Amino acid sequence: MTKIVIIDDNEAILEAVKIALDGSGYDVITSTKGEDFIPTIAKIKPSVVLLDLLLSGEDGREVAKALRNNKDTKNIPIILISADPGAEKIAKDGGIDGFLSKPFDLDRLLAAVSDCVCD
Amino acid sequence: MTEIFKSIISLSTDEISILDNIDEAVFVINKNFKIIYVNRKIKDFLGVDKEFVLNKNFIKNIEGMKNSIFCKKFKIAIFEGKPIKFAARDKARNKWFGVKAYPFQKGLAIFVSDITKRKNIDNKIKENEKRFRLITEKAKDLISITDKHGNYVYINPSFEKTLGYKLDKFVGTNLKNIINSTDFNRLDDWRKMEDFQYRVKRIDGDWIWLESNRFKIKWQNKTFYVGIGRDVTEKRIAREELQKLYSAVEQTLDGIFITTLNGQILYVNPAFEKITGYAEKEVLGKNPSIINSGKHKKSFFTKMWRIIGKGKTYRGQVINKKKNGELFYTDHTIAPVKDENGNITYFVGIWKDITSHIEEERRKDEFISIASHELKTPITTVKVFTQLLQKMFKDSGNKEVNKYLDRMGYQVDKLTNLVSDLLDVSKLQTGKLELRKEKFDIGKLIKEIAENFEATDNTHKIFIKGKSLKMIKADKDRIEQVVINLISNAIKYSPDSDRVEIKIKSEKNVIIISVKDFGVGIAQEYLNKIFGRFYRVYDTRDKTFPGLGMGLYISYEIIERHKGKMWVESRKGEWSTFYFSLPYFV
Repeated sequence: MTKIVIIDDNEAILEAVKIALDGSGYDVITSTKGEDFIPTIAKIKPSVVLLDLLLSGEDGREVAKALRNNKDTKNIPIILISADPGAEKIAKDGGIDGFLSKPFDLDRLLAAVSDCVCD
Repeated sequence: MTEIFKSIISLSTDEISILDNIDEAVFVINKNFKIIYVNRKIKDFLGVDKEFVLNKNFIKNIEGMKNSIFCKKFKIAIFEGKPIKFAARDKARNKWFGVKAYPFQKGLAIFVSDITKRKNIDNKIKENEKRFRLITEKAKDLISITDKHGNYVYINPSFEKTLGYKLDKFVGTNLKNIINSTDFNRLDDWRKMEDFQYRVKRIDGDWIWLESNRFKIKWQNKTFYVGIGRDVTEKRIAREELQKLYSAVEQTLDGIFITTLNGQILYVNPAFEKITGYAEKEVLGKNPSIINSGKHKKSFFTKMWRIIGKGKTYRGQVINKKKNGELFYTDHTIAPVKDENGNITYFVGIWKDITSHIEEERRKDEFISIASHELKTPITTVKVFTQLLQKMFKDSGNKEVNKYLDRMGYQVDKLTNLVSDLLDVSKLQTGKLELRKEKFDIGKLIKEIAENFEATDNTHKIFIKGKSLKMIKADKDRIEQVVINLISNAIKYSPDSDRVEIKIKSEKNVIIISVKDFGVGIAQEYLNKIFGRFYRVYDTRDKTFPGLGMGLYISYEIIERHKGKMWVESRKGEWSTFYFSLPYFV
């Protein structure tokens, strides 16, 4: 089953997204931690990482950079999620594969994920 | 004198010759006016020897005597036996003579003395006195003379006029009675005043400020004091006014500075010192750029100088630096000070320290930004679950559940839009709104938006006239946001109408889009206010429409940031047309 990691500091969002993606046949692993979770990501090698930009105590950009700098995770597609639509620019500049602005449509979430998975 | 003379004429010829040594010319005539004696002095007076005159007729033979008024006087003296005394002028020789004549039984003894010198002195004294009177009477200064006790003996007309007293009634009044007692007590000695300012009571009880000098004079062995004063009431009032203004300038919390035309600081007030940390002596002669923060471009100050150099007032926000390096924000007003001919003489700068206000604004914007972020997280969750439920129940056939879920979804979207608007406003305020420009056909975009509207809203038909000629380079999402805002406003504010008209017009280098509705309209007085932040038209007679008053503000700002313009025309109760223009891409 296609593995997907989602990192967000909000448990409710993690739960909602997990339920939504589980229903579409994905194996969803959630985490409220960013950099601390990278060794796990390296181990499970998901097809895509959904990453919130504003984590508590962490900057999503730094987590993305760390993922890119890790030899085991550097090729894993990242979809950046942010409440600020302006953050799409950061996503583009940071070489990130997708962007979702909160609140997002379920359809768009699924489309973004399937885009990355197909690649 | 008669007695003396009696003894004189009884003297012998030798003895009488002592009369030759006196200063006066002496004639003795009998009752027939025959000169029976003259002394040698007559030569000084008549220019002839005594022998030449002796035994001649006094009236007929003495030059200038015949038919003169003197002649009559001598006759009266002789025939009525009365001594006479008079002064006569010899016009030809410009001399004055004093004549005294004493009758005796045989005739008349006449003594003539040269009084020209004395007469001239007298005239000078008279002239001086006249001159002095003229000066004192015409002088604008208040001139008074008191005796040694301070009792007035003279006041000049200016004194009378200024204080209302009349000389004749005022004489004898003591100066203590009219000088303000507080001011009088400030004096060490009233007899010696030097540019002393004090209040004097007018006859009507009003106080007049005088600046006076008083000095001692000796006259006819008596001591007097002359006071010369000037009415300085108006000057005092002007000075007090100035003092008032000065203390306002000194005590205000706003920083104030005055510079020369070259920008050299001439004055700074205590608030300037307190805010900047510079003491006045550190900045005098320096340029106000001493508090320059370096946060503004050079052109910022060039523009400022250009405005004030033209004689206009500059107003604006400036970021400055304190002596300790700390930044502070000010609302600056710099105004030129002009003289009576309209020439600029100084510049006056006034600034209000708005640092705390700016910081507060910043905190508020930060709050809005954080709040909108925080709000989006639960909305996202609600939205995801709503959509999951919608999916689950889509094929269940339970119409009611589906209807309720659609309602929920619709309201979540509305909530999303409101929060997005809040975030946009905070971005506009903090200058963080970034535009991602791309080339696109705005006509095509409008058509797509209109089709979407018609698909979800079946109350209004949207008519589009015209098309764009060229591409524009703009942030497509933001322009879409503007068009959506204008169309949804048009629909919202025309509940009784079924059409919205969009026109696309091209002018030289710009494209103009207009969105017209046939709804409630906007009253004239609100037309230029509706683009303001959080502005909503409150009209109790009107039906109220929901919203936070952010949409038009955001749209206006988006268009402005694309170097375009947005404006509105409307007729209350009939229609409204919102326009915006954008430059074509060249």
